[in-house]
This record gives sequence, structure tokens and C-alpha cells, in this order.
Amino acid sequence: MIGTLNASKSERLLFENFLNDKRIYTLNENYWIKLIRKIGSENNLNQDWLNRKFSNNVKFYDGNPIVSFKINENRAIRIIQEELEGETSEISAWIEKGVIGTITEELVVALELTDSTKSIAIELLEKWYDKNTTIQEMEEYIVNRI
Amino acid sequence: MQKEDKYEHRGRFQAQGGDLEESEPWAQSEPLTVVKALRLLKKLILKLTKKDYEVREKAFGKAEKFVSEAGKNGGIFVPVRKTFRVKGSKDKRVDIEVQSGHAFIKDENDNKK
Repeated sequence: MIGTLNASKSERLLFENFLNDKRIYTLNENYWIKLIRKIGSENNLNQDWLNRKFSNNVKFYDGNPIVSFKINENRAIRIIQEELEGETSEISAWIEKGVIGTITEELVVALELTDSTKSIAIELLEKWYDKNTTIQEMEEYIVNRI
Repeated sequence: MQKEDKYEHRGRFQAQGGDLEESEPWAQSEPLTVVKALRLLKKLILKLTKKDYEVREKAFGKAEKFVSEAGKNGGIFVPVRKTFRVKGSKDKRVDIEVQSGHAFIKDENDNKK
């Protein structure tokens, strides 16, 4: 199940040029880390459940993912941030159900970061942090929200 | 022991969305080399119709670039999930998943093949 929304390009693009400037990339990354920690302050968050470095310790710097967190034993989140390409900014979300380690349910949010896509991402994360939210409920929420 | 557990290095390439779900997995005792990974990606592409491939061509290109880049940097260890979306589509994409072990290493013999 997936939802995709196109927002107006006239919106403010956040952390523009993040893929070409490591300083902006790091600011962008820290922004997500703080935001996710703030939203999930009641959860026992485990940052970087996915590897974002090659074997020689060189980081990807491609926003794919820009952050990932394990939020409990089997549930995780992954944020993929992309450069704006078209006339409108996009946000997509889906639940990945494949198994890696103990993770069996992962909320994936892929977006071009603007004020409106950020707001939607926060809503999705808040819903997913709630341990009472089932996969089916989350998938319905994604479709209805975006 | 489960059959799949005897292989230390596992993962898959996947193309999905728009009623398509095709994948090329690997499960082996040695890390997957870049050359073999690129062959698996080509094998996956061959499973797709021309139309399904064309819409994902850019996403496949990004996946190939990531595999090659990993090869230049000693490969990559589990856990890895990368999704290359088709911009403007609802759910069309190409995924890379390293589920166990190490992948996309350069093999000295690869250059000779």
C-alpha cells in the first residue's frame, strides 16, 4: 500500500542543494535526527538500524536513506530524501514488510522536503510511533492522508 | 538448520509497483561481487516487459551506480535497504536489500571476465 502526494513547487524547499554540499547534508541529517527524537521521545529509539556507510567507513551522502531508526523490537522507520526534480514536490509512503534481523515492519517515507511534505511526514511518524497502530490501520492512514 | 541459514551472504534486487513484483535474490557462502550483482540486475531487467523497464530505466541506473560505488569502497555490510523511486509514479521502484553478510565487493577476477 502506498500513497503519493504532489505539492506546489512554489513552496519553500528545505535544505536545498543538500546532495551537493556535505555541510548542508549534515545540517539536514541532524534536523531529521532531532525531529524524530522529539516526536518519538517516549520510544526507545535506535538510530541507524540501516547501514549508511560502505565497508571502508565512507558515508553515502545520497539521502537514501537520510536517516533510519528502529523504534521497537520489530518496527522501524526509514526516511528517503530526494532532490526536487519536477514542477511539484512529492511525498510517498508505504510499509515495507520484508524481514531484516528482527525488523518486520518498516514505515518508509520518501520525499522532497518542503514545509507541507514535512508536516505530512511528521503526522505519519506520530501515527507509526503509536504501538497500537496496526499495519492495516497505518496503510489506510497513508492512503487517506496522502 | 533452515535451508536459507546455511548461506551467510543474502539479499535481493527487486522491481515493483504498478502490479509488477519481480526479484533476483542471492544466497551464497561468499560475498556477492560487483560483477555478479550487475549480472543479477541485468537478469532482473530481462524479466520485465519493455514498458516496465523503460519507466524504471533511471531507477535501475541509480541501482547499478550504487553497486559500482560500493565496489570502489570495499562493498557494504548488512543491513542495507535502498529504494530508487520512479519520480511522478505512485509506487514504481527498484530496491536493493542486503539481508545478511557482505555484498558488492570487487573481485580481482572480475576484471578478467
